[in-house]
Amino acid sequence: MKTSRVTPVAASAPPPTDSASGPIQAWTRFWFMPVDPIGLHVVRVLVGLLLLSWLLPFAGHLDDLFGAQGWFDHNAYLAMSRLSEEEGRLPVSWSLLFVVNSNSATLAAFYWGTLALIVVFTLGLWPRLTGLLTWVCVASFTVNPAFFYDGDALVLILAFYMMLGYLLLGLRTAGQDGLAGVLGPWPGWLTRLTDKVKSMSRPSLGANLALRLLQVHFAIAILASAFHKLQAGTWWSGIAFWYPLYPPFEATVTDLRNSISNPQLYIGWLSVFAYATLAWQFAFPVFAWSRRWRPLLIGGGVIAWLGNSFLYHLPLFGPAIFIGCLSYVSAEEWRRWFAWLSRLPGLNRLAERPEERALPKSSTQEADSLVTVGQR
Amino acid sequence: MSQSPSTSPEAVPRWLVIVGSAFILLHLFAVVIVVLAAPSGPWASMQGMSYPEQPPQFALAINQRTAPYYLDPLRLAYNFHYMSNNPTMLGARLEMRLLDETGKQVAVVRLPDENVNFWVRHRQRLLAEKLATMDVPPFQLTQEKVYPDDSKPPEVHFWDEQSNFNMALVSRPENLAPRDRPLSHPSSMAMLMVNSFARHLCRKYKDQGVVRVKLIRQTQSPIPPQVLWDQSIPSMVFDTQNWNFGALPR
Repeated sequence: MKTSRVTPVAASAPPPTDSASGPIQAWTRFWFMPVDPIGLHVVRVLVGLLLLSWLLPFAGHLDDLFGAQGWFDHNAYLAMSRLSEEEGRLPVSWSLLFVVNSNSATLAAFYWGTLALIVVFTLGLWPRLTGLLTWVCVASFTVNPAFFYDGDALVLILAFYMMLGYLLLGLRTAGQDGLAGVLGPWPGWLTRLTDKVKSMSRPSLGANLALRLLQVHFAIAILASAFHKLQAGTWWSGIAFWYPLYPPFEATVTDLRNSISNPQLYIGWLSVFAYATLAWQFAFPVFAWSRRWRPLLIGGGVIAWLGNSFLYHLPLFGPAIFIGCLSYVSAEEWRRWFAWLSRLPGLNRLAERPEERALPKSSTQEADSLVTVGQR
Repeated sequence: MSQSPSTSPEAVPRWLVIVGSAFILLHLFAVVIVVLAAPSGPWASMQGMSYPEQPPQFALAINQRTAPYYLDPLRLAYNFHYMSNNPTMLGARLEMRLLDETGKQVAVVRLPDENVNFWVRHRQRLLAEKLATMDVPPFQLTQEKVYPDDSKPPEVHFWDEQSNFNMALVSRPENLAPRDRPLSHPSSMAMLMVNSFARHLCRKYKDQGVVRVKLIRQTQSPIPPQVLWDQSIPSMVFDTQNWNFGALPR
């Protein structure tokens, strides 16, 4: 294993870019500032849990949902490939399922293998490899008309940027042996045991880039969805939440007339909530990156989770939005929240390592300004 | 900027900043173009029907080049026009009657199935709802066509109202199809799906001698809040409508 020798940035970096104007510096800082990757790790754990809860409930229905003889069978895929977009063809491209789903045993092996892979990725083991494979497997499971809905699109976005983040995390770090270079850096909880490679917690350009791309993509999603809402009259009239509250096959006209005594007041409140939702979505790019407005971001994410789960009966969409909101939380905020949580009984393991706490602030700052020799 | 700066960006080589910036700009450009290239609406038209409007041509032209080669393989080609943004969608479910060789009903399968877990039921509901939105926009046959004696007129498929709230998918020679009302029929994709459902059920219930599946799509219009103050709206407007695809072979 190569030794990890470090040198100050000042000695290795190009001279300060005096000629760079403000916007260029801001752009460079936004996208190319190596950051503490704790935000990436937290989002990875949450995405991993989301993926498990997404896939696990289908355990008893694999052949029906994913099999070559299932609801949407092999012949249907072949016939669909001959349709045009105008005829309603769904955007299906590649999938590993096409290789394994002709046989129940191989399909089951692929499914359980994917779940095991997601568990390993969630734990942060060999994340460069497991992140890539997790995304490949997750994308493979979404080639089906039953998997073309709002929540699935967000899950794919989350899985893609997690894959990208861990492909890049620690890539430029010297001192990784060949295996760590291919599989990715070791997770923090494991390095505490082995005290070997600690690149999982080093400031990372890849972590920043992946999180920034996720943040911007997510903001585009929220804004595009807001504009799409304005194409429906129900949002303008403020009655959009009425329909999921009283869905077809469940509500009856007689029940509604009997149960709502003051329609004006009731519809009035629903319209307030509808317009608050629109305001939150349109203002999202303004407040999402601001620490001052963090309660609005997180609070909105929680309400979106609860609303989508209980109002729209969409089990995946709400949690995906919530995780998207959490991707904006900075490393410093995560550290502060973990420090606060560690004061609660039984959660003291979340506290920073004693050696980190003992490190003088000036040393931390110095360490932050160091890059390894291998980066040059 | 909320991401805490831990090290200086000057540590990053300039070539990496330039290459990385180019990638970021191209990537986000493709993401935005997908959003712009989505049809908008449906908007009301002079004919009284609502139709989606075409996306801007520049976005469509660029997207036709970027999406198939970049975002589609990455599974990121989504325009964020969420289904839940339009809450007035029809409620839909499927009833599939399994028939044996003699035409006797062996069993009935429903989508969504009340006996499966919530997550699977949700997926089944999506399949049924997708099928409910896949009819082609209504069209009206206007011209009378006369075909030579030795040539057979093409068949036209359309939903025909058999009785109140009961529609059946029928097929007629084009010259005999009704011209006094707009017609509609399931899209090719919808027919592909129902035939696949039928094949699946015939295979699954082969032991019980199932050879055909009579598939009925049930839809119900959402109830608007106007019913609260307008007592003249009859409740039967919101009764379940049946759309019979007929007995589909395995």
